[in-house]
Amino acid sequence: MRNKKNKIKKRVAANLILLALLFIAPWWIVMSVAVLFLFYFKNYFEILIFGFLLDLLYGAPVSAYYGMGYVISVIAALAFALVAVVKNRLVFYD
Amino acid sequence: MKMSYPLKSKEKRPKAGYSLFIAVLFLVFVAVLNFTAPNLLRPAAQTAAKPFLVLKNKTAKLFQGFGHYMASKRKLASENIKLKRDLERIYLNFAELETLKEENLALKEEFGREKSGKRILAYVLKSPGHSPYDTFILDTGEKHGVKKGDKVYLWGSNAALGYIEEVFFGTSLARLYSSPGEKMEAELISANLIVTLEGRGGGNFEVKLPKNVRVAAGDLVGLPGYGNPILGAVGTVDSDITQSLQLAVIRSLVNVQEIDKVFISIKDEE
Repeated sequence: MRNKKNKIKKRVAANLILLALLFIAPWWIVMSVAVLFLFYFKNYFEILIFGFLLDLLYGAPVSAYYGMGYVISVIAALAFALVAVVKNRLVFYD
Repeated sequence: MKMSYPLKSKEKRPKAGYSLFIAVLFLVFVAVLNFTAPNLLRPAAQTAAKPFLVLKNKTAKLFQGFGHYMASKRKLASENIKLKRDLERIYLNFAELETLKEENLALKEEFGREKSGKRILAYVLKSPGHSPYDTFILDTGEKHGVKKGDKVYLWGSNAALGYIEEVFFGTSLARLYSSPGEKMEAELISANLIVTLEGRGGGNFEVKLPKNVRVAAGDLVGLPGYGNPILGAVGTVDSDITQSLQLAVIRSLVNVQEIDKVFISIKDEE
């Protein structure tokens, strides 16, 4: 029970850190830190939310990205899926 | 002797398939949003983020001079002398510039080319380097009269930066002309030639020119037409003997990541 509470506290702290970074740091720092949290926490789906928020704030259709205005969200989704596959294959997470 | 080990009470780890399903579902949602209503949620996000961005800028200003406490006295003194000399020189140039400016305005008015529309000051809430789109958030929006497509210039200069991409109630999203893949017409001022620039991001452009066009580092490039607002200067020219074209890289004269104030040229209602 105590362990579970601790985990929730850590997760809330991680989300607050990312929320602060969202306003002060470049997008690639936010995403890099989110990927680290992806390895640390179980099913860290918040990365999708933060990627989406970044796109909502700064996104605009860019011809170099085939008119997509939600590029960071796509990167976040790919990272989320990729890390899940990697974690599933690593003995470290058993 | 047979050993028995207690079973570990480990948590059941979800299979990767579950995460893949969530990722695919999210991608479908994003794709649908992008192609049907890309700006549906943006106004709400901008409104919610504005107070935080303003607070961040104010806090950053408080700590701006903090690094100076660490600098040595001698270094500061020599820097002070150098800055004083620079300032004197700038004052002299400025006085000359003001006279020329007045003369220029008078001439333009005489020929019926006085500037139309109004200009409003806008503070940059988030600089372009923070997103892969080369966009930046300004603290002025619809309530200040800003419209989509209005041009954005560096405050106190004739440097063209970009245009308004989206307008929200109290904020607006501006896009740099150098946004990756964006193509635009510009004038190579020294050659009086209209060229097509391609954005490379971060205030950089590239342009392919025939080899017979004389272009050198430092040549200015501006928006075509009246006044030629400056976009940047030629940085490097890559001329390969085997190629028929030369590639020039144009760099913005200002560090786009350090812009804090701009003005928006508001178009008159037609």
